[in-house]
Amino acid sequence: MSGIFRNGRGLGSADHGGQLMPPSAGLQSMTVADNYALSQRKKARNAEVVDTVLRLDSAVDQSVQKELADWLRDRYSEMGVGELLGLFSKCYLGAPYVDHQIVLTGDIIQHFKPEDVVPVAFAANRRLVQSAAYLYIEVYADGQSIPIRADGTPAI
Amino acid sequence: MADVRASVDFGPVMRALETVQSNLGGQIDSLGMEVGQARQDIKNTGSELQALRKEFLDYVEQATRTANVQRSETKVGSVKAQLDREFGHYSVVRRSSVGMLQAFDVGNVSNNAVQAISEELMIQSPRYWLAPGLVALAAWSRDDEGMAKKSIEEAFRRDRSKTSLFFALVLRRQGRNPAAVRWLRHYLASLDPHALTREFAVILEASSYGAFGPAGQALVAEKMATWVRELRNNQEIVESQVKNWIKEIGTRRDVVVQDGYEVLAQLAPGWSEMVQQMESASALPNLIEVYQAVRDHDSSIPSTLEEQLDQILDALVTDYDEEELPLRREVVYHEAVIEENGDLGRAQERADLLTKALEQTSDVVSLQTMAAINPEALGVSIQTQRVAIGVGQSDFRSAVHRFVANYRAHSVNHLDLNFDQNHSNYAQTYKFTGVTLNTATAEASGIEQLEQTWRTTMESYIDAASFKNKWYIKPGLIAGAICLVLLIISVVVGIVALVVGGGAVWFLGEQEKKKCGKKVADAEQARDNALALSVQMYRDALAQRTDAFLIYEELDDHEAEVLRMIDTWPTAVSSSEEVA
Repeated sequence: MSGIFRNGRGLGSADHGGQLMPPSAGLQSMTVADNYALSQRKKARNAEVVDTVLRLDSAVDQSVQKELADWLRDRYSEMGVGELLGLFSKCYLGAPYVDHQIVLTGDIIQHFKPEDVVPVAFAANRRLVQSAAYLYIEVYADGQSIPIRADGTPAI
Repeated sequence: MADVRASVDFGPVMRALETVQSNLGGQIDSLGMEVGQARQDIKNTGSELQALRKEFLDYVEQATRTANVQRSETKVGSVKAQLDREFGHYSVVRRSSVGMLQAFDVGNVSNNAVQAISEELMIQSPRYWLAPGLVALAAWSRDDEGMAKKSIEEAFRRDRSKTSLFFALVLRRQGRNPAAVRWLRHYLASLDPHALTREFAVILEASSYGAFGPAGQALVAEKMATWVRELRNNQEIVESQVKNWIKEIGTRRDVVVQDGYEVLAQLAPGWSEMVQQMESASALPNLIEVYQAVRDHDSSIPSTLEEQLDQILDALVTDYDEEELPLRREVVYHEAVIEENGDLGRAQERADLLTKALEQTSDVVSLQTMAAINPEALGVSIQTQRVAIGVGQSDFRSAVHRFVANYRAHSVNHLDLNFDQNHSNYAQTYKFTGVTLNTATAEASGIEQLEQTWRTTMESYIDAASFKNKWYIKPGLIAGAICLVLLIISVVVGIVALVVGGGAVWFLGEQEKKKCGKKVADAEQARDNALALSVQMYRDALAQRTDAFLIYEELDDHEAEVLRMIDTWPTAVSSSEEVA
């Protein structure tokens, strides 16, 4: 760290030093979903779910995509986690695409370039998906976004 | 005709013209030098002014902070004096209670003396619960049951919880365990798990050491488990614990020292975002350091429980009461200002966290969190803190998840570098047209863009300085007019004048060309120097961005270790479960 930091208790010069960053709206809006759904969301996703998301992520054939999306939709509905708008993750297609959304109905996978306008509910997660720590991010209708790690642990 | 030819001598005219031209040239050169000097002076003054402004602002900030610290130092003294004035007599009661318990142990003080002192304190402390408690103790020691009962009732009336706890501890000290546990049950029954008073922390502490024996420990553990189960069903309470943990993590951030990042700070408007993410991520290794020390603290049960018990009893009778809290809060705030070197924002944040521990009531879950985050303020030991962290394991884990996801959601990898009209003295002098380069752009392409922008910027200067053929028009016309007049007077004179005039115009033109050529060369030199400086700044900024981002990534990588530390917390009992 080569002495770049001065301990927080020292003489702080940065004017933002005394404040926490404002929490992102997506991580805090928990008013709509009921207690049960919220507590379900805190539990780990099982390996099968994570694996299916990975397969869907890389599926090219539309019928395969639909089959996997249908399976996921049923699983998420069984989990009782509340209304899921879709999943958002880093796009590995390479330039010019950086991220993509996966919705479980209709036009399943949609890829975005940096300059593209991403649907509002997903937009707050554009920087977050670039972190290697998360596999994908679940975006819920009540505004909550939950990053999921490769082992299925929700970062919430 | 020969006479006429001999009588016209243009030598002096030519010499005069040359002298005028040479003088004029010399004067223009010296004027040019003076203008150059003046421009340099203005540039220097500008830089000095900027440096002075920065020093002045730093000085103002430092002076404000020093003033804040001085004010708080004065205030702390006066508030402490006020505490002493208003509640000093409580200290006498507290000291006497400790002394009385020790006197009982030694047995060297007569019952009469104990009775006289306790009764005197009773009269002097009209509202304090401990005074009748002491009278009861004195009566108990001389077997005056009537007086003991009456006094206990009075103490109980003044403060039910504290009196129960006091007698539970005193009786335990005297080896009367069953009676102590009865008082303890009484005490627990008097509590509302949504609004526990401060001294409940003492019970947490006592139970963590098994101070009341197995029966007492089981009683407390059972009560705690019931309360925690009941309260954790309430998501609001759970959320509020997570938020407290997030605040705690936030206080572990360091401050980025910006030395070595000056160019990036100057060029990148997004630098502050990168500083924030670095500062946030710096909390992770700090968390590991602080909480590993707590985890690895030697927690073996002390060989003499009596000693711990005495300390707990001591804390109960010597710690401050609710009436003193407003003044205590003030002391905490001003001490925080002093500790934070006058940074009022940070001081408030720290004081808020500390005074939370001094609040009159809190629910059992929040109390556990407080014991985990801020054991000193709650007056509990590291052993209790370890247990409390285990109880709040899921809240701690959630807080780390959210804190990290939060700064990652705002994190930037690359920055825009804004080369504007003020990015260098050259840019200011030549009104640089400006270009914004992203650090993600390939360096060669960035340099090319800088070069192109400098070319565009300097084009008009170079164009204005270069020699143009239209320069000949004016002197040509003058010379032409003179020749025409002379031609009318005399054809021969006119022809000679035409030759000489043409020569003069050509000569002056060559001089002008030379001057313009020098000006163009100077402008090109300035452009090359300016470009070299901008390219140097660009390269420095790229290197500084890479350094900063590497540091951020290194800090950010500590997340896994923090989570591992929490997941393997020795006193934790809960484990995560799968949703499907």
